[in-house]
Amino acid sequence: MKVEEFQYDDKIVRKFVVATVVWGVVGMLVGLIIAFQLVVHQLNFDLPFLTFGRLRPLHTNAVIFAFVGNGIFAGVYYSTQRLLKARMFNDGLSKFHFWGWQAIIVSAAVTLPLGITTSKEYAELEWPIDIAIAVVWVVFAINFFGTLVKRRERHLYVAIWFYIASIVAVALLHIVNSLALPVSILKSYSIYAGIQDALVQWWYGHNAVAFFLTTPYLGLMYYFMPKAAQRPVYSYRLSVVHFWSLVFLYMWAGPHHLLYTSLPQWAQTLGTTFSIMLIAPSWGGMINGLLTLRGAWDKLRTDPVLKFMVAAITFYGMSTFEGPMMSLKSVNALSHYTNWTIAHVHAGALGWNGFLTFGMLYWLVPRLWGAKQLHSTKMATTHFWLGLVGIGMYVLSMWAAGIAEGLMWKEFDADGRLVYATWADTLPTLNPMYWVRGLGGTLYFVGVIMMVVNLWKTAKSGTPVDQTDAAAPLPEPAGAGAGGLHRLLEGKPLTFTVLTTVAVAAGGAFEIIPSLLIDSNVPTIAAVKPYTPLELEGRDIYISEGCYNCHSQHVRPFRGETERYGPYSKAGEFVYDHPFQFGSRRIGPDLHRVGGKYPDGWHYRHMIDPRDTSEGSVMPSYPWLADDPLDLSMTQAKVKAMTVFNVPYSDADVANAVENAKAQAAAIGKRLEDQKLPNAQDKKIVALIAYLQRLGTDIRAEGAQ
Amino acid sequence: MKAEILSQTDYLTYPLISVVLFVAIFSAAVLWVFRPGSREVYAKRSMMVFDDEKGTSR
Repeated sequence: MKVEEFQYDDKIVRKFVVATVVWGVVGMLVGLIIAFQLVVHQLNFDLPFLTFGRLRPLHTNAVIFAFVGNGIFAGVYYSTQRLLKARMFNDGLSKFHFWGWQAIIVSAAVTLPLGITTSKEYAELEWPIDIAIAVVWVVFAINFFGTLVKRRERHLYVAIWFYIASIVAVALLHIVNSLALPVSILKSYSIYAGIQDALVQWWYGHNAVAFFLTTPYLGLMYYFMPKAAQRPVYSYRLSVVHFWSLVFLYMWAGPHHLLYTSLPQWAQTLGTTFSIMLIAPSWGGMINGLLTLRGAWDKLRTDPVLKFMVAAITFYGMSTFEGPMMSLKSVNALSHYTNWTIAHVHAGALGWNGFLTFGMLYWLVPRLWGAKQLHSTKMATTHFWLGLVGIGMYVLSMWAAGIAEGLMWKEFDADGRLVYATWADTLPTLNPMYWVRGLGGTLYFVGVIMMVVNLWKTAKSGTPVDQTDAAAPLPEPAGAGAGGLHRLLEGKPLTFTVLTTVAVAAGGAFEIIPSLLIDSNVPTIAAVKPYTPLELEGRDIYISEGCYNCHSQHVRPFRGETERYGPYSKAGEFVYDHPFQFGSRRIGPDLHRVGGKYPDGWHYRHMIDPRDTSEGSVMPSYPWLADDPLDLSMTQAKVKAMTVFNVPYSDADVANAVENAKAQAAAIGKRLEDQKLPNAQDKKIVALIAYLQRLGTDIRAEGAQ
Repeated sequence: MKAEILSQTDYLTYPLISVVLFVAIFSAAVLWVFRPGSREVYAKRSMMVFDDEKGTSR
């Protein structure tokens, strides 16, 4: 049989490895900063680009798309070439993919702190960057599928299936969730509104976890774990069954982020049911990964790579059990909006994604830099223990904080009054736990710095590897030879990709399409009216400052919430909210019924210095809102854009948008003057006050149904 | 028109069809992986990760 000689491109893998490490340090450092901002509010430095609301999205984007993203590409490029016995399809596409992705990350690092954001979680980047993401992703897909086409190995190993599913699903998720109407080069509005936007967003958000944080990493696990353990995967059969189950079931789980909201019950039930079912295929992956070490557990004692990988897979198992439990409505009633969600996320992110990345890097770097071995096994082992203790401190403290605050929010005294009636009453309980979390994160970060030093010294001890020589026989014709039947699926990438696409698309289609088409899902409330032009501008300031990172806008139908905030939120109240602003955390109180609760002057003082009105508050100060001029140059365009979504503004509303905004601003300015405060009618703060004073007030209108 | 079409549709059968389809496909997948002769095939496939271990780097 004729054997062909060729080379694997290792230079591109090295580039992605370096990017993974660099962005990991950056992303985790930002995470540390925001963790400590919650206990030392002065760490916001009264600077707009350093507030928690602006930095938290930077942290999430950096660790998900920059750190994990580059880690995925490093692992995919290394393993795909070797599993398919082919060099990547095109070196130019590889380079474009690399530099394009880094350019996207840099654009995120610039725009997010500047408040240029859509406010949709893990999809905050505005529309020009969304287009760039799509272009780079298509280039990646062409490069990947082109390699599939020119492969010398007919059979597609399990890792390749996971990569295919990830590429297809991420494309679908990104395109559907990012659909928006631009009003300027840096501002757009989601085409979806209210509860429908929430469903699309959390279909996306949960499946960013599924198909960006999980399936590619399962693919990497299926390659790097056997390589590190020098043992084949425990059960290839199990990998077939759990792969198809996982990619089909995962896409349905999104509504578990919206339990006890005004999302229709049928959608909530689907989310819960499919989340519970998801335990099975998730644990199939965990079992397969862990039992790969059967008969060789002693290697764990001495090999830090295996320590990281086994711990990663264990955290994966923990998180994929905890997540379904949190998807039960009874559990979610306590956990939603609390730090328990943060604990869950970080067990997965620090444990599964972080640790698997570190294990992969420790395995890859000596090979990619031609070093005889890792510079220091002892340092790597110390990194492991620091990281593990760090995760333990993080997760345990946030479990405690989450359960504590969830219970405090619901506690009534014997007279039927809320025990923790003022939000600040809950903060002293949480503070010590936030310090422990910060310390845990610091330990984890110190471990990462040790890794950087270790990998740097390893690289210095060798010579960078650009290519690896390889040889493989020419591929057999498709469908010929022994095992022809299995090639119906596992040897034909196009068939496989189409079936994967169908499996992945089903969940979103069956949940999103009915929610959009069937009007009864969102009962109309006649009293609900569109925002005024000034309120629309204020809403955009709310989004730009990242207020949604700390404040939710959805009162759940629990006595503890209706007593604290007011009537529970109804779907029909959000029909003009492009995008929705339900939020996913309550670091501060829910704001959906804040309209009319406090005078305008209270909001003015609260923004300038939250401690002025709310003792013990950890909220950043926003003094620039009283200094920065209110820009009404885009107001008319924004109101007109809303009419594209059938928001019922009249032609006169559009034509007179600026005048109406100025008139409303003047009225608020006058009221501020009456309260012995600066007039501020031409400042941003007035628009924000207008928006906040509107929230939740429509249903108080006479005859509202 | 959309509302009229939607109001005429019987939705109750869709979940039933979905469950039947899901169980059928899942069962087929399980039967497929346990088909006669598959043990040797999958044992060979699981060793694919080690095929590259004799490469020369430069």
